[in-house]
Amino acid sequence: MMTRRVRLALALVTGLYLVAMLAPLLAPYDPAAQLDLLGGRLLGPSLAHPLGTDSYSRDVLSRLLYGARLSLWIAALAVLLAVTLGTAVGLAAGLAGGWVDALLMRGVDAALAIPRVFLLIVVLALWNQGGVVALVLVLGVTGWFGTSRLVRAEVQSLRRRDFVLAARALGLPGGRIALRHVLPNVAAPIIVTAALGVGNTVLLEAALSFLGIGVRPPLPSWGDMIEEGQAFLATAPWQAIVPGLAVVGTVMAFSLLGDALRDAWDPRTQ
Amino acid sequence: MTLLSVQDLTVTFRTRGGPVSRPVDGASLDLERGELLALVGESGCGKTTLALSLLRLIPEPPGRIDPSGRITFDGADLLRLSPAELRPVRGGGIALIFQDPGSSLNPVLTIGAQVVEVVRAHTTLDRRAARARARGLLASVGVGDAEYRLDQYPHQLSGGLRQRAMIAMALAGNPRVLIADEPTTALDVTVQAQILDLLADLKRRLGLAILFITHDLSLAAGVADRVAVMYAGRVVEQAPAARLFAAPSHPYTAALLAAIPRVDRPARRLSVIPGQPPPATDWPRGCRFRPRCRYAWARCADEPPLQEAGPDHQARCWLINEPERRGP
Repeated sequence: MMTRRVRLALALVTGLYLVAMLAPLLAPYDPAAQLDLLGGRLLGPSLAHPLGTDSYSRDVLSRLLYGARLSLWIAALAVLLAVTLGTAVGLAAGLAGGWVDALLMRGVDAALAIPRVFLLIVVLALWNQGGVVALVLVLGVTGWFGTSRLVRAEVQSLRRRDFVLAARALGLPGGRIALRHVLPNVAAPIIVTAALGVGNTVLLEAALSFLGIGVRPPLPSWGDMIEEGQAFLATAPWQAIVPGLAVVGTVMAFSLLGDALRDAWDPRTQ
Repeated sequence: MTLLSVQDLTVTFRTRGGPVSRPVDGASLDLERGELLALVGESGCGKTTLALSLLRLIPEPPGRIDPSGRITFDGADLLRLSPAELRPVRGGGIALIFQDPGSSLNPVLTIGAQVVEVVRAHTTLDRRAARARARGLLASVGVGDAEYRLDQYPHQLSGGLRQRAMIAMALAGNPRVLIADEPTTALDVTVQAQILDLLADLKRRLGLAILFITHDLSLAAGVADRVAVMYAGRVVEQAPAARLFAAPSHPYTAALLAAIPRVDRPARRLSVIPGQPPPATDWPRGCRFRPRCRYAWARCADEPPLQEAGPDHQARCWLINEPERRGP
């Protein structure tokens, strides 16, 4: 259950969240403060500014830390919402069967036929006053389709298992069988998808912020930092490279966690 | 007094594009208060489908219980109860245990959690009281160190202990009928004997009526008060155990008895019943045992009714009317 890879990945992810939560303590400056618009713009790394400053003379390290806080919480909350929705729908479809199942799953098929990024761009462009809350909601509501399919498939095989039949035979209420007997047996694949999902969502949020419709300035976000930094790639490359590496590292940490958990829990990969 | 009465139960399964299967086809059976009735038959004769149908646990669709049948328990026709009315009967009136205790216990919940859950589904006990009751139940089915076992997971228990835990779960709702579907088939022979003793003990101690389903007549011989023999979806013979084994009336029962290896007789080739059990999609016309029966004659083209073959003894065979055909 706790292989070395799982422990390593958990340590990385926990470390990321610690850094993100402690951003106000760790950041040397206010991330929005324009420190010295005259002489302090696009400074290279130095003791005063370990990762330099940006074109508004804001401290890049402080922005990176605050950006981590925002990115990681947006991703975590969006995935929590997505996994909850996906699990509920998958559980309902898998247990009910018949027309309920057909209706829900054809709905999911239809939703999956729409490219998610385009859907996100359209919704966020239209709902441009929503802020971070809108971003979480939209990422969550468009992110559960895959989970619902996964959960449904698992539930369909579980509901034919003897212990579910035994639970019904001994008069346990249907809702209780779903939540206490079926759901815990699907927990492992759900947690794996959730871990992979957080990484993907960080990437997606960065992409949306890069396009200017995710986290909007002046809130610090990695995607927005990359977007601002790309103009100075030739003169101040760390502007884009630092937040870019942060995105890559975060996504890799979550992928590692997801893969390690899958390898540890799925008997077929052992 | 009859506690659970099954009359003319027919269960069909419709397969997509395929033939309709009738694993249980007009089966009738009475379970008396406090008796242990063994339902015996070979694989595919409909025993398990019958057991599941008693609590309407077969998947519908594709399964369907013909509404012309009746399953009467405690004055209520189970086929006509609403799901809400049926739920307390499941586990609270009639409880069911299965063949493989390894798969009928939930692998991710402790034994205690699973027993407590059934206790609480059928009583108003709070968590602590339910746990105490679960401990008592485990102890009463012969699980030693019950307090410790409550917090163990199924994989930490031996097969015999798991089946005992499953029986404790089944008893948690204070049922009056226990249906045990091949409860010992997955167990070692010695453990098998212990579980049978436990069932007999529960019958005596709690006045539980038990429907013991098995393919093994010799197991039935050890514990049953009465035996019902099922063949091709129907009950073909039922009688008090002693009488059935001494004087089987149906040729199928006789052939099954002859096929039991005996240690107290000189070794000889085991007798077998020729042919295969018929498929549930295509029961033979007339007497269903006719294609495999050594006595079959013209009259067997009509199906015999279940008729009296002696005191409290019925069989579906024309030989009862023409005993001389049985020959020497």
